[in-house]
Amino acid sequence: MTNLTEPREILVTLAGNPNVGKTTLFNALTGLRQKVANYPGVTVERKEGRCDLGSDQYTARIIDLPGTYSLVARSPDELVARQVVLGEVPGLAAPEVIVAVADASNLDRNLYLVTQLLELGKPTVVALTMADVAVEMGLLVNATKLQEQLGVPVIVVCIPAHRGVDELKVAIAAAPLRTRQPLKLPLPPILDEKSHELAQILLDEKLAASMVAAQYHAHMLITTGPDLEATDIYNRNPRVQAYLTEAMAELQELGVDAISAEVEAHYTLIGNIIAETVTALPSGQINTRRRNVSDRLDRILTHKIGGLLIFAGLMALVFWSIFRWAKPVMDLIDKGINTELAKWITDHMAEGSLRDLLIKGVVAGVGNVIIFLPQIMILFFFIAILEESGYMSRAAFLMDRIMSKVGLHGKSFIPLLSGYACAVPAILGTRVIENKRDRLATIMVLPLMSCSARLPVYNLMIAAFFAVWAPWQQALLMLGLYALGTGSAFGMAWLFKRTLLKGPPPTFILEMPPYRWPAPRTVISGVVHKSWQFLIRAGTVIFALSVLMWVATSYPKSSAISDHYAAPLQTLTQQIAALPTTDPADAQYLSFQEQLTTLANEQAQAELANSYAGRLGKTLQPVFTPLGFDWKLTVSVTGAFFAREMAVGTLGIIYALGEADENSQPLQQAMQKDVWPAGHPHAGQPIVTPLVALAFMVFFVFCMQCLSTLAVVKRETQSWGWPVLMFVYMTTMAWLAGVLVYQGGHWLGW
Amino acid sequence: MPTLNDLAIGATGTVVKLTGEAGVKRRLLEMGLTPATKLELIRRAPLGDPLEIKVRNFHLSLRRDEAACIEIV
Repeated sequence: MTNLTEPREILVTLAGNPNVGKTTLFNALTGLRQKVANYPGVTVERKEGRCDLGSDQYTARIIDLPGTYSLVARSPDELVARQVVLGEVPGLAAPEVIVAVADASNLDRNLYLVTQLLELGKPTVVALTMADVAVEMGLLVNATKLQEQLGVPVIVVCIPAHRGVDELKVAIAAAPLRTRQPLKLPLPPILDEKSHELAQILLDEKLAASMVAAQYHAHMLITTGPDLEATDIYNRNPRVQAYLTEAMAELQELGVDAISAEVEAHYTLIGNIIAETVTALPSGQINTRRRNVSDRLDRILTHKIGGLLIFAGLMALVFWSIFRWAKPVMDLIDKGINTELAKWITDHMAEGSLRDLLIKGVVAGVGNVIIFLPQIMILFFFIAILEESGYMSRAAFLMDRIMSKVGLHGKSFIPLLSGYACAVPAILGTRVIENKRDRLATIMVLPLMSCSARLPVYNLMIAAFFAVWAPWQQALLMLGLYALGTGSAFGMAWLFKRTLLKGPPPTFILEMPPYRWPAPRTVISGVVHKSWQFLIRAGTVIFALSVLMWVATSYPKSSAISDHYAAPLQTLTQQIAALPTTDPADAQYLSFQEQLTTLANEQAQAELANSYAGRLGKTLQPVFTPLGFDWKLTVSVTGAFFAREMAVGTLGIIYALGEADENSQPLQQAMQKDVWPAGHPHAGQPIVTPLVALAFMVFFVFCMQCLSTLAVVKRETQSWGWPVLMFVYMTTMAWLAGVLVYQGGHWLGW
Repeated sequence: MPTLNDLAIGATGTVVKLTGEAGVKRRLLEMGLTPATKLELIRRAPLGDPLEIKVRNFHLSLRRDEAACIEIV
């Protein structure tokens, strides 16, 4: 018999604590049919996939929720988990079935979330993972008895052995028909009474989508107290606020501690369930190998000296890889796109504005986006391995003391370190920080870590103006610049956490899961998904800004300039064509070629000076006079506001040397020889002195010169306020520091 | 009343009561640190803070400030 009706698709959510094998189960259920997006308004990943349940009636659309310990949210991730479960995410229906994933080796704490989910009264299936690990620890969980106790199906799953997944699918397909009553915990009657009254108010005020949601929220508001971030929306309603204040006062008078009463009611029930379902194995049958390995690893990895050394080594490896391994790939991308593809277009298209737009706007824009990919992929590869193996918690454990001095979390360390390579992937990497304020503070100071794009500026200036210094002195100067950025990042973090991002004292309640081998599949899919998200979310903005940058540096076109250079260029070209030989060794030919290059470079210089960016630079020149910059340095700085990478290239063009890099001898010499013109108070004296070079470098240490970073910050914070603040505070700091260096140096007589 | 901070490394204690800010208190309770629960201090971080404890068969790390909210015997 064939089916006349298509199976109906039901929405299923996977909920569970972190580190319980939820993602592995999700992968096993959905295979490759998954996609990653974001929940509206927040940067929490929304992973979903489809699953054929093998049923005539239903197929499933499965959402993998962020790992959470409780439905009472403490982080954006946990808030999203609760909102999805309660059907409060715009555009997403309430799930019909909840799959609660529980770790058998850690059943007490896992059952806390499970019992919270059962309070919702929705069709629920429990997937019991890590039963083998529990046995090794000497704990035998009786799934049949657990099923009786909980009143919902309990399926034992073991992904590595491919056990239980099909049974789980069958249970999911049968679940929608198994309607059930919400689990009711014995609470002091006064709490129930208050919850009911408040639920009615929430419904009246249209603050809840349904009675179930209203009851749940009322219950939560009464039992969590009114001071949690997640309850903000209710606290802004005067009626709710008034009721809560009164209720809290009344409870306090009666001596009822609502929070303890609620959580303890859960754990009392859990204690009873455990007593019925878990038996301890005789000690002879306990296999302590795994726990012992984990304990022994911890003794080394969190050791006072050894642990810190290993951590430093690992961080050096991460840093080195982002810095060095990515470089050849980035060069290849740069060459492939900006050279090969650009050349191909040049060969196949007539000269004109359209070709210019295509090469210097579109192609360069695409290049500016994918150039970040190698670093992003390497960083996320390491982050995934560190997280999956359980080391990330240890890293946070080791570093927390230092980070907490400036009000940050131990988990801020790795993103900050990655900032030395590039702020863009590092800002994406801050997602490991659960607390929103800690995460924002980390993002806001990250661009102060000297990224690899500042290095060419430091190199050029040190090579050109500190050449007389011994190599170790030069190295010390370089180190000083890095220390300046790092120190100010920590200082600003301290300031942010005391002002704008002030909040309740930071907490560090972090599970230290047993060490595990990272699942390759989870690592790879994590890297691929995050890179893809970067391309879609930040890439589009970076691309648009790159095109804008091209317009600013190449328009308006001046016919006066092109006319001025047209005749001499043409004459030269004709003279070269008329030569009897085009042998590169021919002196006459060579001289003509040199003249041609000089002319072309002069034209490029004139055009840049005439462009919007050039004009802006000249207009801004008075602003940079206190730093000792002339118009050429100012134009270079202005160009670098799009991207620091532009700074040295712009200097090359503005000194009429064409494209140049930091090692360009002609550029170094041109800058050394450049003197103030007649009529200037310092006429005849060098423009760029070592002091000016120092002010220039210090300016680059602090200045927010990277539109890609701003674009990523905008995306990650979902607001324009933070990137604007970042630009303003960093640029102001840069200017002040530059003035301080130049004027201070002058005053000291340097 | 002694708190978790008074425990020596390797020593065990029993939770009596949680104090402190509602959010922290709630999360500690939710992680299973309910009254009468046994816990063991495993180690302190190299720089003295945070601490690592074993409770209900899993390892948890928390700062001294949070440990001060956990009264034990």
